[in-house]
Amino acid sequence: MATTSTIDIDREKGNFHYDTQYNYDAGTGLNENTVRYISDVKGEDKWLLDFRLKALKIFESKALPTHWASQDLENIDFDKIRYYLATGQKPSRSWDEVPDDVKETFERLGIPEQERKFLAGVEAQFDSEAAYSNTKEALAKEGVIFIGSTEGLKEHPEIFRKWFGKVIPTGDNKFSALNSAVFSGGSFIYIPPGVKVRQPLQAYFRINAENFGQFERTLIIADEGAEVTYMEGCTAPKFETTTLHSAVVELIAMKGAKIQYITVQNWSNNVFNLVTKRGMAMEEAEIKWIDCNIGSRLTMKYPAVILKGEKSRGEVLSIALANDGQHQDTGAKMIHAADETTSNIIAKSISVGTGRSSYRGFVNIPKHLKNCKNNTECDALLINSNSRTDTYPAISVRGDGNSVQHEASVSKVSAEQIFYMMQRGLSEGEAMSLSVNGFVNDLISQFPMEYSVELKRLIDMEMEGSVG
Amino acid sequence: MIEARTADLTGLKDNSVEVTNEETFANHLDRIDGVPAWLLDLKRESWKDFVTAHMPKRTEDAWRFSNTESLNLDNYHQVSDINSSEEESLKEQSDQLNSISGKITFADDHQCGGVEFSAELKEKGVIWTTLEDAFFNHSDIVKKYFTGKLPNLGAEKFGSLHHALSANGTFLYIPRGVEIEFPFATYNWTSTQDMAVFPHTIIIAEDNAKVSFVNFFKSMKPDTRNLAISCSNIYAGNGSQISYAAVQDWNLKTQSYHLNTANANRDANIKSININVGSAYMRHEHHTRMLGSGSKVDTYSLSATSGEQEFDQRSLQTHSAPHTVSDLLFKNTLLDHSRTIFSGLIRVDENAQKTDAYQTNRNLLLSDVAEANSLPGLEILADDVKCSHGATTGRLDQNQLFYMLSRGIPKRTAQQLMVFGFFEEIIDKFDNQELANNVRGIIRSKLHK
Repeated sequence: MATTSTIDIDREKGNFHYDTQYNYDAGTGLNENTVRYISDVKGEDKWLLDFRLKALKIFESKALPTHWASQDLENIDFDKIRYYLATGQKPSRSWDEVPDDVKETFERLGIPEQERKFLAGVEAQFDSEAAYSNTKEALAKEGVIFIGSTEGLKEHPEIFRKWFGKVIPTGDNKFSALNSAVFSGGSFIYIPPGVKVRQPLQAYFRINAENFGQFERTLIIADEGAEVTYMEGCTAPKFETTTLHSAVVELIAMKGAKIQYITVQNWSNNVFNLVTKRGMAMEEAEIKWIDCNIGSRLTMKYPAVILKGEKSRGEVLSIALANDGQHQDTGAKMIHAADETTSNIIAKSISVGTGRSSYRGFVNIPKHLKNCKNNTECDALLINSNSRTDTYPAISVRGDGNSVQHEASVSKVSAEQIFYMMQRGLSEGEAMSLSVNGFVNDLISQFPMEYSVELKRLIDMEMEGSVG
Repeated sequence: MIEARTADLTGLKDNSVEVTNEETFANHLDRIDGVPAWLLDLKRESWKDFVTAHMPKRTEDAWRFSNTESLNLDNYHQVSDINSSEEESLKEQSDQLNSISGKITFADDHQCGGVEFSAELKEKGVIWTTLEDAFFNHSDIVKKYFTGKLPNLGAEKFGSLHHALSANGTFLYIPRGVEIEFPFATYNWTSTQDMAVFPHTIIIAEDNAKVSFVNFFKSMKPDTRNLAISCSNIYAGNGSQISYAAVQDWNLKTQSYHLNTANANRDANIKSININVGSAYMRHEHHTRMLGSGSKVDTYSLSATSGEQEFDQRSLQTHSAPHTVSDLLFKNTLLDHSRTIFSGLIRVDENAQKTDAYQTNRNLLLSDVAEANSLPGLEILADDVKCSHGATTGRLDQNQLFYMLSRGIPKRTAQQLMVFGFFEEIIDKFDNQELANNVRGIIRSKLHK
């Protein structure tokens, strides 16, 4: 197979930005005053300010995890980053109230049409604050709460404060501590018992300003027997300097509840995407992470499920595509903490050009648990001779009542397949695209329709010019 | 028969000094006075590395899941002499194989009796001797292969101590084109309380040579507290074939480190089988290097743990040349409170196209508190490769068990049959049936305890 360098990726859809006058700007660099400023602008209670200040101390005391993670982390200059930017508007309820320039941004991203078509509610985050959010009336009537993090903690402390920072403690890692200190925006969602939200709730995150760090915080609580699907999409324009995205996402599925969380991450390739995602599944609950990473410079993200209740179930379906200069360091963690819990991880990665994709996983079944099961499959596809892939799973099992299986394979696209398709009149690029789509097809077919279509298109775009 | 040179390099004037003490090293240098200068330099360098390196911490990636707090180098000594009655009895007990090409027996690193070796092979240019003898009489060859090389998978501090204080072991050299039917065997025994041993093995097969070697690690008494740090390095020349087996059966009070490398040149074939039943704590590091195209290295391991044993196995398969094949299968059976750690990595360098590399870890849990940890890893920098790894942990297949019960086989018998079946996949890899039967016996007696 011919090996040539890949062409520059077309990221036209997200690659635009607007000059925006920010009314609130916490300046560059991070210290106690930055944190106080953010908390003050948001008019937060004292407990939350204390929470932030404590988190800042933890962030400062923790070293970068470069003893196992990429050295590239050292290139993040925390002093040059702007931690909070907002134009000061309250999240608007109707599309008409949104400022024109912000609206224009989101119109280019295609949110309103999509919402009209099928979305139950939309939360669009533009830099630090939510610009627009709306929950369909019918859902609001059933008691579904879908608001921003600031509003959530202010208006419904009885629901959200109880779980805030409980699934992912502040000190979990350096970046969860950073998020806890400066978080802003994100979605807080509560689904009352027995309510099954038919249509997915959706959020868009966009970084518009240079040197900006986005730190949204999401907390989703599905009460007993409730069901919800949440989707997030991420984009950013290309700037000269690096940008940081460091989110914390916590999910709580109460007894018998089901949460499905879908991410299509297509940050531009100067973004450090360092995200902590974890869900807690109570008795017979189910949490499923569908995680697609196409953009960013370095992504480190290992969605986790703590299987706390008996018979609960966790699942991670992950697709990563690393193109030139990108490192997708993704994976999954399954922490079994009750009998008869099951988990499933399927990860597929594609490395193109000098791209590097890594799978990092952790499956833990500690002592005295019975009948726990995990299945893990990791498949990697290498496109060019200079592509790289790594697999670093860790499996710890105690006791003869449990079983775990892990399998991984690495392969290249079959030359015979490509030859066959070319002989039928397809170009080499088209043949390669088809092959790659075939590789991820069994995963993509499990996604909601509109996402599988979008993903296939994204993959086609990334594969353009990778061969020939 | 060739007589070993009389100088005894291992002993110490005063065995009350701990192995970690500078004085031990000074005594050791005194004792080996007369060895070539390159060896002294290497030893001084190794001692320096040993002193500067810190003890492993659990937070280090190379020691993930290991119970590093149980590791210690305190209160171990090097022995000055062994008594001759023990020597005789050990020689008699070193009888696992009847059909052999040569045999060397060590007790606490001291040679017991002479080197057994056929005159016919000696005439062909085969060298089979103690390392101590080789330092003096084959210095030119030894210098090329006694290089302080370690697998570099984390236990460097222990490896440096080994190279600083090790003065004896096995040296096997097969000249070009010589093929040898029966295996060479080395028995390494420990016999004295609180003694540290540092067995070193070098096996060199020149182009198109063929040889097999078996190393038995055993304790004379069940209750002596010992430290064993062994290194073995295998070098397979172009088109050569080396079959290596190690049976680690130290007593349950031994802390052992087995740091091995296998290096395969063009079209060479290395098969290495490791059987592990002994030690309170065992760290086994294994680095295989596929250096020449067409080389193939197979690494197999079979472990049975019980009580509070912890086996900590780390492997690395490095493919540096195109058209190379490596296979690895590590099987563990865990009883009682025992723990195992398997950490494996396949690394395929950028130029190593057309590589086939496989890595499998199977853990069979036979108690509800035994713990198996598995870290199977891949780092692939070439694209035209076939690589896969798999890891499973679980109990006996309940459907198979049910089938046997329904055929009238008692439960206990059925379980035993299934466990033996689990082992047989590895035991099957032995070409030598005498050794295979021996290993079956060792594993079975371990399980019946």
